[in-house]
Amino acid sequence: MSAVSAALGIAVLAAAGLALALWRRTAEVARLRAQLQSASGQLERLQQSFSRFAPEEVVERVIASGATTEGERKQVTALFADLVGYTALSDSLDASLLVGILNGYFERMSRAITGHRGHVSTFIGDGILAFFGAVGSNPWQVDDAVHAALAMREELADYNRELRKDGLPELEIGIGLHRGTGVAGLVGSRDRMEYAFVGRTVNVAARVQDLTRQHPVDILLTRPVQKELDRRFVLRELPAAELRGISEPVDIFAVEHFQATPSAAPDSP
Amino acid sequence: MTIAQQMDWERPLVDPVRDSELEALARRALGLVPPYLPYLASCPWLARMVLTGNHSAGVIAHLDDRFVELVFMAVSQDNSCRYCYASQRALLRLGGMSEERIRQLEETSFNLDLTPEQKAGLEFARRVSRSDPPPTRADVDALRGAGYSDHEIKELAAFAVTALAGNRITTLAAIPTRATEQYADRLRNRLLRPFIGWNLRRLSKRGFNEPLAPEAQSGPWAYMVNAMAPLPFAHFFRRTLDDFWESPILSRRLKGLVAAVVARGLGAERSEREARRLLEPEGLKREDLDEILAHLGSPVLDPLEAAALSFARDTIRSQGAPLQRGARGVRDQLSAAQYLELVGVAALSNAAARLDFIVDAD
Repeated sequence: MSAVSAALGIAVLAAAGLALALWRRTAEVARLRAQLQSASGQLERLQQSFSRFAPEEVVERVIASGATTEGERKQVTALFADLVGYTALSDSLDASLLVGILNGYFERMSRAITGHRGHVSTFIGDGILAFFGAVGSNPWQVDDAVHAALAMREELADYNRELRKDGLPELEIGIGLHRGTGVAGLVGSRDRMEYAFVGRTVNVAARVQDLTRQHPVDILLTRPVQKELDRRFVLRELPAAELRGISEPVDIFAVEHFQATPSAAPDSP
Repeated sequence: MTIAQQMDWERPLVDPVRDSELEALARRALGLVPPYLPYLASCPWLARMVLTGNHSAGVIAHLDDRFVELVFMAVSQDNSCRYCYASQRALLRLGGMSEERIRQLEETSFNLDLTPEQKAGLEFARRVSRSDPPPTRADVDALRGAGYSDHEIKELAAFAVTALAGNRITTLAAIPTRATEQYADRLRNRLLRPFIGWNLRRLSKRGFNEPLAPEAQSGPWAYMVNAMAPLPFAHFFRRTLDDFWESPILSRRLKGLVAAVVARGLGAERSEREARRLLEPEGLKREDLDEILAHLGSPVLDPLEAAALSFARDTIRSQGAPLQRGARGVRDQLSAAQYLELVGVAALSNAAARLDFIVDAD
């Protein structure tokens, strides 16, 4: 009898030991799974954060294959926007007030650009460089870019109403648009990289933007943009301009507005 | 939280309606009435397309069933389709796969235990679905080098675009996901899981190669359907394309325009030519069509057409909740049947345009 009891006791102890080991293993698996989930959540948040610095598609590519410096030659439309009279503004305003005004401006301009499928490449001081068709292929990039420029005009008018109400100085922008080829990819040093588009197209867009002070208009575009543009955009041709570093004079057009139904005698050239 | 539950999803864009004929078809094909069916029932050809385009309904003849299920999940994840992802997940659970195993698959982007050949196939399917840029002859040759036959490559491409079309349809209907996400874990289904799994396997059909009948060799996108013959997908695609083109819910002009815009957006020249050919009898001047495709707008478009073309463009790359939010504008202008047909036309146009490359790869 005692032998049976002893055997039973041993069996119970063994079963308890086994159950304990099993429980520990299950708990360990659960703990590891929780860690993995937490890591997965962090990774997701990291990916979202990175999306603020580079287009989502580029972030995904970097995650899948690492940061390669392979570039792609592409035809893109570049948009360069700059604040008019920024230096005087920055000298006359308190630093924190200036940063607040600029952040509100960047927020609204970025919304107008991304809302028309553009990608904000970089903020250079008070300037904004954006591309259309640089990330995914986009056969409607020219129309998108000019719609974005008009949306920026509207956003700025809206923002100025707010600034005026708060007794703050209003902002004025110049926007230049140009279309051409260049190379898109991750550019930079091993320590610091950014998704960029490299080529003459950017320089031309920036210099055309400078011309908005001379004419004075807020949105200017070049012939390669005008040639591809929906005829419902109402444009006004201006005298061809000499641009630094460009041998031939560049044809430029001011953008008036978009007219869904074209008028009988179109203003567009 | 599963991967599916992390995907944003809007409230439904259509109300469910019951259709006893479609429910009977579903029971015959799948052994159950899937939760999505009532949401698609207002447009019967679309509901039939989703029911019969399922890989267990005989459209696959050459690829392994389990591999195809992974392809479906990977493409659905890539397209942020919470509903498709959750439904395939539920099917895997009901088919006997453990929750742990599914999580392992998710954590390895579905590459767990795959052979190098299968990994290459999965990557190719993702590439077809993304089509930015579309796969090239070199990609097809690489897959041949990995051991795939031409029939397997075509089937893989066809299945990837079918999955993408399914993703777009369920996303644009914004079919509720909760019931599907919880389906496999309901007490009754947990108890009946072996039986449900057995029944799903019993009803699951393998397709087989069969030449197209002469009358099936013409019609919309005939060049594509013929390139896919004799695969079972060719028969499914022919039926579906005929149904979509013959359906009287929306005008042929609108359907052709949607197809042309999607083809232009994807740079699919063959598909664009086909859409232009289909539009020839619809009274659009060539220069007007050129203008529409160049600028997604023209004074000759009515407001509904203009909204539908903007919607069509969104279906090319947008996904998940942003796509659903963008669709509300056009949804408000249409009946449920019209909206669903528009969704179906856009989904099919995306599928056909993304398959353009396969014709050149022959």
